[in-house]
Amino acid sequence: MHRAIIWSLFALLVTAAAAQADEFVITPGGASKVVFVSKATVESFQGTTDHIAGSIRHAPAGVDDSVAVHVEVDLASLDTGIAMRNKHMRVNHLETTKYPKAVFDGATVLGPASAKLEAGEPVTFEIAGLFSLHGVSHSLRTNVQVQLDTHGGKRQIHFETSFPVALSDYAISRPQFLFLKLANEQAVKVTGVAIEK
Amino acid sequence: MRSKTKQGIIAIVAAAMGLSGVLAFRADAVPRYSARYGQRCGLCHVNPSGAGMRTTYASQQLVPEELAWGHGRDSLSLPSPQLSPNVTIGADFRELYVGSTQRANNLDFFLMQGDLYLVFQLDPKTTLYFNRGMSNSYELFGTAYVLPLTGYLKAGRFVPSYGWKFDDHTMYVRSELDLAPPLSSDVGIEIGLQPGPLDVQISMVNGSRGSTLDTDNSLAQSLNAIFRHELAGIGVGIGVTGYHQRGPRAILDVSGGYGYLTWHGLSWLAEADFARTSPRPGPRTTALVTSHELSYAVRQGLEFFGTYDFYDPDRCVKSGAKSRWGGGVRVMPTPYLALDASYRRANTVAGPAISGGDFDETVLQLHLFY
Repeated sequence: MHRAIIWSLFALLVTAAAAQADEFVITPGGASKVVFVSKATVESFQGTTDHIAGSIRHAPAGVDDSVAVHVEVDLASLDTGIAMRNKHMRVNHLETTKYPKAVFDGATVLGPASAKLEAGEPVTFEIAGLFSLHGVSHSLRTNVQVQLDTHGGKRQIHFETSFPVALSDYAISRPQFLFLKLANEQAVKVTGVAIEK
Repeated sequence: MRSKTKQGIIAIVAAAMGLSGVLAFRADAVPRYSARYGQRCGLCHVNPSGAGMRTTYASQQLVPEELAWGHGRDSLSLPSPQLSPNVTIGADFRELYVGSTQRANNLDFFLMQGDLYLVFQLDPKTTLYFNRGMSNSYELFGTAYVLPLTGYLKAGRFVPSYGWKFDDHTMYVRSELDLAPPLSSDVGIEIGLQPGPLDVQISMVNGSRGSTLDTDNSLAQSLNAIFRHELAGIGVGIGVTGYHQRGPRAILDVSGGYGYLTWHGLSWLAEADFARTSPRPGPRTTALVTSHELSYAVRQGLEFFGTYDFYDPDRCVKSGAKSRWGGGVRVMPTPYLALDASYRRANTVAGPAISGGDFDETVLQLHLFY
């Protein structure tokens, strides 16, 4: 009887270990970068930061119909190349003291079905999650290009995605005197590397 | 300072420079702000090459929040310059109180500038701009941001873009080159491109400055280009500029370099130009002119400045030369009022092309603007 219980517990532990998700961590710096581009009538500029952090967790057998993604961007670190413009962006528009981060949480994998991550083979997933910015959250669907590699004995997930962000959707102020200088729709591009934990 | 110049008395430099006091020489742009903040002139001025009417971004945000001593928003509701969603007005008014050792009885009030601006936003990319000053000259042009690289096309009567548009019209690169408003407004077209840190303007105009017609049947061209960058916390701008006019009596070629260095509140702006005049017939002359401005913003709304100018009308012969150095203080207590007090010392090496002697001058300036 005791032996049966022990073998059952052992089988349970093995099963649980096999079902544990693979976790990959995104750390600031390195190849991780967020770039936004504003193209207005009289001015075009872009802002960048490498202060991006988070994690990606997926089932070991492959990306199922969902994957746990959490990505945060430190908005106060965005740099447009002009100090005064950075200050105006932080204070007047993004209000980074109240809303310091942009966050993506999710995600439901909309396609392709039952895709697997094979080393060296790029795959494009369509995912959906929740994007939060300036205290407002919206559902976000985007295509993400993903590639699994191994480096230094650890697996890495390289990812890249682009999506538009409308300032008005996130209650970000854009006074009329800035209409010609600041676009309502910002083109955002996120690239990064998540390293196996 | 000589005994004849009383403390605090301001001298009209225009008269001291031998120019008529009747004309109102518009003093327009403030390039040191462009340098200090690393931003193109077109962000603060409706005219993308700088000077003239300020954008609502400048009048409603930049000046109150970054330049004026008094914020203006809490204690005073700033008037809106917009007559309607598509029509905006602006104004510049400058009066001087002048004193100079070059003239006797030289306590003068001088209305130096009185400009009214009107802008029609015809659509999101197209504006019609009108500027009428106290002199007979004016600017009237349309601008369309329809070119790539945030580029624009301008057509009408305007001042061709050349070098720095210093607000002080007596700086030698303005007064000696005759390429400054209002007399140098001309009719033609201008293309501007703004790829990243580079800002380029190319103009094709009649070459008949001050006239609406091409009086000599020959066009003139101008080029103005500046590259801005920040290096180890120091703002750097390097520019080249040129103006070419092939007239029936002479060929005029003006070319030079200009730029800035800025670090925290300290800014140095400089421009140096060669002006080659080849008369038909006659020997060619090559003039050298340079102007410098060093300013320091002690705090928001208060800055000290120093200037230096040099002019040699002909580098090839000893025809005389003049130089000038000076300094002063500038206060902007509110977003629509600026007060200047300055002193300058002019030195002259007399020659066939330069007359007069050394003199001192002091200037008080009241500037109302919006």
